[in-house]
Amino acid sequence: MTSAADAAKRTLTTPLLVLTLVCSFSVGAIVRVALADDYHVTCVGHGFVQGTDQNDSSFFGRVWSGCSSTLRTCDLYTSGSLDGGQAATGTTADCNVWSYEFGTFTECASTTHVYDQGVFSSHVHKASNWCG
Amino acid sequence: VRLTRALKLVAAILVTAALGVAAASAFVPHGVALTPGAVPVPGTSSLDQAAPDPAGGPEWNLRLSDSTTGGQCVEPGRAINARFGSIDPDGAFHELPLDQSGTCGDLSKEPVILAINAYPAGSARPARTVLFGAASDDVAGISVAQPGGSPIAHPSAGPRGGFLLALAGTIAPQELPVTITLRDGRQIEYPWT
Repeated sequence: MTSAADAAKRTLTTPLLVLTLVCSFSVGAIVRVALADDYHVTCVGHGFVQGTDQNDSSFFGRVWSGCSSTLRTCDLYTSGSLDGGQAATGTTADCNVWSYEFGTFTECASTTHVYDQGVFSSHVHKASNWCG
Repeated sequence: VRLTRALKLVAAILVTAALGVAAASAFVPHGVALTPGAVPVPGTSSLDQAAPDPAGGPEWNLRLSDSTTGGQCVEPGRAINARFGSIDPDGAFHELPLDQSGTCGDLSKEPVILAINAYPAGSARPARTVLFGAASDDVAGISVAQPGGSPIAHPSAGPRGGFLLALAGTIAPQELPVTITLRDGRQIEYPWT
């Protein structure tokens, strides 16, 4: 009787632990992606995109189109000062600013402030090699 | 004995959950793979439409390209001797190669691609606001209301449909509502809100 009860418990415990592992991995993955500092997806991809490498002062602020039709903005800042920015409207125009269009700035101290009306509120994405 | 077993089970669950989260941190990349979007196709770009600087600086111009998704990309900049580039806050001109830059859209799905760039003032560069875009063949006219009682501007389109309007200072998009008139007489408002 005892050994049968133990076997039943083992039968239940193993799937429970596997389920726990799967669930915790999923939650961890979702949280990690959602809290990414440089780029993530909320209906559309948006954020800070490096150029060829992380130290060439070439970087982008982007909000892809696809989830709104009124206003998307993407502004670049370095050490808290505005480098330049863009507003795009309509259904297909991406918001896409390139640092070189405004000057030469320290990439690791730069951020992009992005907004997509009705999709997500204004928030900040940092360079992936953030040093600010 | 039951209490001990229950504690062991809870401990096993906690350890397993911690392992799961740790594995996610180790194996899931920070951020996500960049979603594919439209960027310019090399070899398809040309300067399309020029506009004067409001204070007589180097002219503004628009570089148009085909996009990787079958649409169009438009990028405003300065043009000196047919060289396309930017002027940095210190007033120096830098030629801009074609990169994954510009505002891309699709004129087969809507009549205009429309955006506004803001260039803050630098030590040797006055602030500028540049409204720009591209219009499809369906567009008969573009009207831009301006703040402060300035007359309505009617930027004209270049050979590939590009248009731009360079204005002094930094102007909020909502102060530059755009009206597009189509060839069939319909009008579309872009209030930036």
